[in-house]
Amino acid sequence: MSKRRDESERRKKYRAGSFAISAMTCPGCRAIIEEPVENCPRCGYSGHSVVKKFPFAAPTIERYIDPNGHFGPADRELIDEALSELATRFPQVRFSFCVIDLEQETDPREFGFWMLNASPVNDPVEEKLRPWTILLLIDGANDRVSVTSGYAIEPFLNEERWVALLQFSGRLFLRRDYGAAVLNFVEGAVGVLSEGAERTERRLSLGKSENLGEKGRWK
Amino acid sequence: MEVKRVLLILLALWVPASGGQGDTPLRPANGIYDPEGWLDERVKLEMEGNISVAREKGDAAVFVVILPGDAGAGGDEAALEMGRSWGGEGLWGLLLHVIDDPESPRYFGEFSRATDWSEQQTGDFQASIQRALSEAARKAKLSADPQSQIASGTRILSEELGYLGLVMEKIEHNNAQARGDRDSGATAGSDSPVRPESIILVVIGVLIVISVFVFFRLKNEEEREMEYYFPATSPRKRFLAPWSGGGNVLIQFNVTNQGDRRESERRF
Repeated sequence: MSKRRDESERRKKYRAGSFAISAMTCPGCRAIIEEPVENCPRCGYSGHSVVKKFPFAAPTIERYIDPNGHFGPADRELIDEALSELATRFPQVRFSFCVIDLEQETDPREFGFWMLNASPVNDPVEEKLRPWTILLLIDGANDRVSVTSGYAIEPFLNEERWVALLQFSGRLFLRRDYGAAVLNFVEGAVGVLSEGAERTERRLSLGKSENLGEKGRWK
Repeated sequence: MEVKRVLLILLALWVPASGGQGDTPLRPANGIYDPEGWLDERVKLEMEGNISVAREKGDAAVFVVILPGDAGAGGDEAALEMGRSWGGEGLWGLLLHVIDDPESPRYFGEFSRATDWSEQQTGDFQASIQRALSEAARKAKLSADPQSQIASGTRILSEELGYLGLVMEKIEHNNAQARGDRDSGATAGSDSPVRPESIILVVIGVLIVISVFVFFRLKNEEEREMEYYFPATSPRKRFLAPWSGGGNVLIQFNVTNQGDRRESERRF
């Protein structure tokens, strides 16, 4: 894996599609879209739709969004420690863990989409962090979890890896041992991010050697 | 006539100037002054032997003075004069016996040579001399007759002073050695060669410090190298959402109807 790139390299912006391997889907109807659109071509869904669907204030995006106190102090300490360790490797990425009881008909993926976009951004720090946020949403009422990522980190993640990681901790989620489950998630996230980094570096190298510039699309 | 008078005056002045030295007899070769031959020959021989041992052992001079009974009160003073005259400034002891004096024998001793001893050492040594004299006096009194007392007194005094002579030698030797170390240390301070052991220790210490420094430097480098920064991308903004386009991962954890097996259902 590579290290910091030099300043000129880092200032350069790449097209997200050059790296992304996960499909773009409509949060409303789950239709796959080929290009970024303002409204879903199938159902017309947009950010306005979701605000209407959830017409209340979105919580502030924090590390722990846990109104019912599922994460004890010991859990938080362990998770914080794991996140610190992760931050030494991937300083840009922020994690948020939300445990909430949703209605059965509410799709956690859509709810996560709403949270990341509707939650207020009131300061430059949040403005910088929001696109690099990975939100793990735990629906305690229905034993469901979802992962939603900000635009900046999204292209580098292989969502299949999140699935495998979360399934590995299935028993913990069912037991409502969310502290241990999230800890497993964070520890596994290092691997997911590492894989993304390696893939990115390979593609950057290919891009240089073949002088492709912004060519090449990836899903 | 004038010259004769001057010489007489000078002679008169000279005699008092020389003090009592004119009265002190010459130092006896065997250390025993017995002008009237009071001591038995057998006892004298024994004492001569003890006196010579003290001289050989510790370079201590021991004298025995036998004075006639009419010596009077001046006997002690005369004994001191004799001891100082014969023993000089070195370590000496003198046994004075005034014939028919119930207080006799009496013991005298001194060490008055200038030394570079400490005050403590000097005081202790002088006290030891007095103890030796007292010890000789005490033990000699246990003998029955005066001749035996003098003989045993001389023997004990010789032993004690002989031992103190060795002590004195030891003190001077130690002091000389201390002076010698100080001197050699002072002269060798500026130009003495550095010991090889010191050089090795310094080198090892420096190597250890360098190793620790390099280790942590490399560790920090490694940790910094482990940091990874994803490149900035122009986001795939969609659905008018400013920060995220949503995700596809949803896991439904279900409890199946088949015993205790739990399965998770993934929706993608």
